Formats: sequence, C-alpha cells, structure tokens
Amino acid sequence: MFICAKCGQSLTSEQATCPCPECGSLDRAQCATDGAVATDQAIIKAKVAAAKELAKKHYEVEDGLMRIFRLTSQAELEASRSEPIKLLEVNENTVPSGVMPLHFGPVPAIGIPFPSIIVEVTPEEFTKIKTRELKLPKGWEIGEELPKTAESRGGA
Amino acid sequence: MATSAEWAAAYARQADADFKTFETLQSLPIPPCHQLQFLQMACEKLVKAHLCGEGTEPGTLQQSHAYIAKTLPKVLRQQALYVNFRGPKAKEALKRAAHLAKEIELLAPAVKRGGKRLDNCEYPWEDAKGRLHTPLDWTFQPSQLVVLPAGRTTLKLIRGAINRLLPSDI
Repeated sequence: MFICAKCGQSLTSEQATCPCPECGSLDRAQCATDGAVATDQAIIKAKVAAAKELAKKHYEVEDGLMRIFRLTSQAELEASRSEPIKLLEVNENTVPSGVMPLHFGPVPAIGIPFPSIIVEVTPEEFTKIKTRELKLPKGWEIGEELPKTAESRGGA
Repeated sequence: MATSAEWAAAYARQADADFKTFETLQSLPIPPCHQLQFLQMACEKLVKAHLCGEGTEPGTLQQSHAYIAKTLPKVLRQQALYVNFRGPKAKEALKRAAHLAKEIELLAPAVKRGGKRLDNCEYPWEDAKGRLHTPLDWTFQPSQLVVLPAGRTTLKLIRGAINRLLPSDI
C-alpha cells in the first residue's frame, strides 16, 4: 500500500512507480494495511495544510520574505505526526547566519498543530544552498515551493 | 578566584545548554510555560555572560533576573554588527527584538514590572480582579515566536550571540 509523501494521495502499486496523479511527486510512503494508509494519508494531508497555513502567516508578517519551500526528509518520517514541518524561508530582511534550523512547538490555537523547524536564510545564503556551498542537514531536501498567495500578500 | 572571563565562559556554556534544551522541548508534548522557562534562562545567562565579559563583578549579577530587557537588545545589536547585519532592516528587526526581550524577561516570576505584570511561567498568580491564573493555561507572547514578526531573526541573533561567547575549545 502506498501513499504520496507530498500530498497524501493514496496510490495503487502501479501508480506508486509513476508521478503522483495529484501533485506529480515521486516521494512515497509505504504502509502495511489499509488502516495505516488512511492514518498516514490523514497526517500527511494535515501537515501539508499546516505548512501552507504557516507559510501564509509568515508572508503576512514578514515584509522581506521572498520565497518559502518545504524541506523534506525520508517519506516514512514525513508520515509521522512527531516529525516537524520543515520550511526553508528566503528573507531579505533577516540576519545572515548560515543554515541554522530553529525549532518551534505546535500552536494549535492558530492552526499549526505540528512542531515546526524553520531555516531562514538571506537570498545570498539561498544561492549558496542551491550550489551546495552551504549544506542542509543530512537527509533534508528542498521540496515544494509555497508561494505567496493573493490572500497572504494582502495581509502584509 | 575565578576571573571575569572564566565567569563569562561559564555563563555562556550554561546559556548554550539552556537554549538547546528549549529547542529540544519544542517537539515534545510539554506545556509552553515549561519550554519558555528555558528560553528565559538562556537569555538571562547570555546577558550575564556578556556583562561578565565587559568586567561586571559576577557577584552582583546573581541577585536579579531583571537584566534581559535592558541588556539583551545591546547584545543582539552587537551580534548584528558582528555579522554585518545593518541598515533599516536591521534597525526594524532589533526594535522588534527589544520588545520581545521585555516579554522574555517577564517570564521570570521575580520580574513583575511594578506589580503590573504578574504573569510568569512558574507560579500561579491572582489578577487585580481576584481571578486566579496558572502558567499552564496562560498564553505567553513568546510562545507564538513562530509567527511573530522578526521572531526567527531574534532567535538566530540569540543563538549566534551564545555561539560567539562560548569558549573556543568547546
């Protein structure tokens, strides 16, 4: 039994080897039973929604925030409730400090029921991450971009 | 007798351990008041490390928790200059960091700002209307650092300042 680790879509074994029909990702989480699939799928979908909500809130309050990406690790980990949402944020108004993951607890009251880790970098540092001059923590990859929406732009 | 430099290094090491504990607790199901206590302690020791490094008599620093609001903004400004973070964007971030420093200082129960702010992350308190509050049920402003403007920048400055004050042989 497979699910897409990026969007939580359940997949047949044939679909598992192809790009996800929902989002195009090739990241997979494998589950042993139908019940486990449903649970993992629900967690991944909830984390996707929470990541988008967190990104929206950050765009609303940070004028210099240019881009936000999800950072992903092993698919099995991403399907775990305890694995934090990880975001890479490019902010032209932040202090240069290299790759410094900051840990935050869940804040259910504002729609973020999962812990999160934010790596906030300057545009120059982002360029260095892309060229691998600056390294992300082992096993972390840059994933889907969470772009500014009209709604989050309006709040700034 | 220990020198000021040795005191500064000792405070910095303790600040480092407190900050790491604060970070570790973030992903555990622990109430925010307990998590924030380590942030308050990390900041207090960071500013005491800085003050010892400037030659303040260590003995005088042990009598109060109320150093963060006044000294943390200076420590963070110095850190900003150290990493060449300057100009209007730095000014804005440091202004917000100074506000956060006041809120972090208030997390210590001994700091009450003239009896106007009894909220703290350790002990229950009674407000002016006689209502009893507990830290477990209170929403502290720093518990929403993840969505506060310049919250992440402030934490990076704190982390960077602690790193810079740590003895180089660690």
